[in-house]
Amino acid sequence: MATEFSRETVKRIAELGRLYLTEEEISTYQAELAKILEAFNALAQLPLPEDFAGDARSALVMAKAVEKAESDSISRLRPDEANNSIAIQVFLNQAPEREGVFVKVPAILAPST
Amino acid sequence: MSGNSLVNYPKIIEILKKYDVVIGIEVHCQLATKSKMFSSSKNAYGDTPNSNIDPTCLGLPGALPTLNEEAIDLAIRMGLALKSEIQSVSVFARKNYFYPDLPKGYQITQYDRPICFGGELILSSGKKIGIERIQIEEDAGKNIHVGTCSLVDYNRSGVGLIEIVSAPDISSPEEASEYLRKLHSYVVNLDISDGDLERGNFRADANVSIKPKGSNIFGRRCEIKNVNSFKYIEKAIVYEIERQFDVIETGGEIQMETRGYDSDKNVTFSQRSKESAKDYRYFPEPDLPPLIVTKARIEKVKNNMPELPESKAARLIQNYSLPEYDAKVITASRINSAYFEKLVKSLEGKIEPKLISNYFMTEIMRACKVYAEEKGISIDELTEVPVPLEYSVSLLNLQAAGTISGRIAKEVFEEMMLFNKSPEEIVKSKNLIQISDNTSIAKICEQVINENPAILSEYYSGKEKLFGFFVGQAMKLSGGKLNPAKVNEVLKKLLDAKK
Amino acid sequence: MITKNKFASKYTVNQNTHSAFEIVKDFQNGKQSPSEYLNDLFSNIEKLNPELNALTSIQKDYAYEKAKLLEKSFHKMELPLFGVPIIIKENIQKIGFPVECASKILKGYKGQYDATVVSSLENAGAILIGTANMDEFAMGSANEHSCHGVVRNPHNTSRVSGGSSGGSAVACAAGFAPITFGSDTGGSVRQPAGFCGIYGIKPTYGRVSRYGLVAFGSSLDQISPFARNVKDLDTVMSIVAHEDANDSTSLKGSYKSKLGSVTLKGKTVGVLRSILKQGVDDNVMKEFLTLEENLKKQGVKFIDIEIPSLEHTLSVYYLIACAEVSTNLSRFDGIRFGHRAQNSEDLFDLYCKTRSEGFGKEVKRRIMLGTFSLSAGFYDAFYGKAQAVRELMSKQFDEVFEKVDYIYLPTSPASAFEFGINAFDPIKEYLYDVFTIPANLIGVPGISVPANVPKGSLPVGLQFLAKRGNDAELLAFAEVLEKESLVGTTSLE
Repeated sequence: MATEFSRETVKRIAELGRLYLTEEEISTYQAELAKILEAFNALAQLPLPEDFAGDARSALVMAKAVEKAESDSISRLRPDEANNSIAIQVFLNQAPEREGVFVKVPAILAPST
Repeated sequence: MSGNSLVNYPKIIEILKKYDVVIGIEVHCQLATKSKMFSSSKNAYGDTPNSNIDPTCLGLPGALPTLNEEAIDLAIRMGLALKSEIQSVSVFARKNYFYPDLPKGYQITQYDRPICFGGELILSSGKKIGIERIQIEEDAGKNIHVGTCSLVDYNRSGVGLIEIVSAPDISSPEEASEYLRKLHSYVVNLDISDGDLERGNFRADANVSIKPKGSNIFGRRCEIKNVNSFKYIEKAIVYEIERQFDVIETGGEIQMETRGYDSDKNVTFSQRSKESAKDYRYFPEPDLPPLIVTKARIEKVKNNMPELPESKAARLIQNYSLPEYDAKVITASRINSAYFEKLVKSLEGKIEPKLISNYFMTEIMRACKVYAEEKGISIDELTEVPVPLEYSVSLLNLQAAGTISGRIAKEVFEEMMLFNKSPEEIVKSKNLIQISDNTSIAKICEQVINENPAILSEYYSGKEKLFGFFVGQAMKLSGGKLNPAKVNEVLKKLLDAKK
Repeated sequence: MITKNKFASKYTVNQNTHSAFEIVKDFQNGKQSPSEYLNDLFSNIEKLNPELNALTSIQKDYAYEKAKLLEKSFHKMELPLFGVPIIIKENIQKIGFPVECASKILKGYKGQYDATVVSSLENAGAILIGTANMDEFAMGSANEHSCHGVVRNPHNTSRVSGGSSGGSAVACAAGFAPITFGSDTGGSVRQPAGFCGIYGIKPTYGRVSRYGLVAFGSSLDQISPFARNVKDLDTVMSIVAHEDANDSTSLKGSYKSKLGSVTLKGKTVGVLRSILKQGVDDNVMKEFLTLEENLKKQGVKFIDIEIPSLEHTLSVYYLIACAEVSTNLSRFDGIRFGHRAQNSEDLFDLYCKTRSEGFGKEVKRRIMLGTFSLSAGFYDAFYGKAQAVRELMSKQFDEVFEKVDYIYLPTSPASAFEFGINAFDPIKEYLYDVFTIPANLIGVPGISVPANVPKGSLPVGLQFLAKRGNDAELLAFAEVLEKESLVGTTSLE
């Protein structure tokens, strides 16, 4: 894996997170992400005992899930009963822009990523 | 290729000589639960916008998801119907993207560990269409576009969905349409969903590609989205196959993209081309532990399942001796079979199910067809039989009692549907009661005989067929109200006597 | 010559006088009414808060209304927190209260529903009197990253309170309320408890409902209480630590107090001796060893323990926490609530402008980190791997807990540091994280108890961890230490 971060990559990540970055911030993140990547790579290289790796791990996670479900978790399933718990006005009062009973946003041009 | 004929699409037949068509279908089906998938606000169509809401489906800070038990059971039911392998452990995942109708900025769905893997749906030709997976997820809210802005309604946000992904085993537009209709009949018959296409309960996307005949390399596919009727999906697929053929034959390359369908122009059109830009950053939903489905739960769901159409049909054939075709039509939709069963029950002991079935297959099915055509929808999209049950019961009773003849009954049915009047009313107001007493019949027959001396002589000279003439005239004279069996009887007697 | 601390008051001179358990008794037997109590309390808050900046709102009208209602109640004897004033961190939902998470993006936002913890507290008779300052979206360890300004440590105002629950810690230490609530994702309650000289406990993961807590690290967060004595912590845990149908990660059952049932003799305590070798300040080390000696005298056995996977604590934590928070913060988009940027060209612009204007630097950093680690191609190697190492860590801790009842370590390698210190030496920085984060990663309960520091000295926090689910035992153990005067709230006087 490359330990260099292109400006394009940083911009792409910012876009995914819907953030605008200044040119300075892009540079900062290039350096920071590269550094973090090094640390994460070290973690990625870490050898794990057999039962914590790959398919064995998946099986372990699944078994643990079943065990946990039976032991200390509450019943996870909610009975199917309708209950509207927020009054429409309470919600709309804090909407930044509304039109009647709708929340208003700028026109949606292209569907998102 | 299925045994279905492609007479409707001659160009497709030509294309299929050189290419294989590969179609995979993804269906998003809303679950008919009272509350939403991950929270308890109401699941209902048509309510005041933003009234069926709660912190979770609005993505308010601090809100958390909880699992709807009924939704899980409905997903299991679908898995059982499609013979899928229901997973004892499945995992929820976050699918991340920004859109106003997606309040949390991610959709809770299932990614590499859905609730069901595998399964199949068998077409009438016997061909098995593989099911790859069934996953549980939540619906988004609704955006309404109004000029330079959009209005958002969160009533639908969080409503439970199952996504059923087929294998790319479908090889023709007809197969695609049949697959959809069959899957739709399952979800409706099994009470998994209301299945109302107009309301968006059942939404299909088709992935279409073509490849040189016999080749192992799949062509680039295009996804056709947002077509909300079976008829149009079929047409859209036809257009798309032809389009791809034209592109390839003229040396071009298919762009992998999403396409919409314009039903007025009957074309598909490109909607998005940034396919490669999608990065949903899937990861396991930390707010929901893995879903454990025990064998006990699966058993419970199995025992509470409504009957599948196939077994219902078998039962009708066995118990009521219905012809196979009739049984299939009646059980194809839940509304049909419910209607039929109610008729049978109401008329128990009075009228044979077989006769009720005849009535159903002729009168009722015709009324359905007409009604569907008027509404511009396909017959399987009807949400109820357009003939009031009480009217059907009355009509059949009147017929069975001999009050009206079969022929008159047909007339009465037409009036019933045109003017929405009860059969009794119509019979009374139009004086259609069948004449069955010998005296009245004899009087009319006498009149007919006396008015036609020439025909009478011919009849007596050996033209036996002219008997029908006298019957016809008697019927005409009486306005069709004579009991046909009785007419034959009386007329024969009279004619023999006069000889 | 030790001068009187200007934040000292009747509330802070003695650990017990204005504790929840004492004032409840007074309220229940009519010695004083809750509304009367609020008079002096609010005076004190209004006098001291401007400089400390611990509270972001003081809910006087609400509090008095609630007090009046309670006073009419026929059930006062059945309400364990009858009339007790409580402050919550401003990332916990309460209808009508500001829940701004110290962020511009939530400026003006008021709660539209009550967190489960809030409902539990109010049903037990508590009176919520205000909201506490914090680091933006709980990211920070000095309460320096808040749009409301920094929080000052009442023991020495040129020093930080700790974070991210700095406001709640200071509010409790300065006597604004006997019990306050923060949230702990990587030490955000234990560390400020240590810096401010009070008790703070992070429950077992899932023991307290997260419903209504603005999410940071979903698999790490716990709403956690502060108090000036152990009994108050125990009482409030009995109220808020129970299963919740609204939180699918909450545990079955409920907390049951074990106060009085623990004796020191025969207990075994494990110490991660190797990581204490360097980087810990002298004063902290001194308190640490003093308590160890005292406990040994009382029959507690100490053994050295090793947990090899701790070496990877930071990578694992940052991978998981940032990944989770990057998606948890996606809902802050200017669409349905909070700040929305003006003059956006289109939807994309609205999103980016709103979030860039609304989020602070620390928050943006973690969003970038988290988004990166989840992006295509990195998931398995990073997030997936981090979870595997986390499980390994959990297993190693489980093995240790088979040999010991508690694990003992300082809460932080130093006392409260001065404002303006931007970076520590790497070892110290590492220790700050490695002392508190593991408890969040593996979900065990951890408590910071205040060491008996000499008068006028800065508070020092000492930490005990227990096995998953042993919250009551942990508090019972802490109570013994308190009763034996081996630890105690650093009073402001």
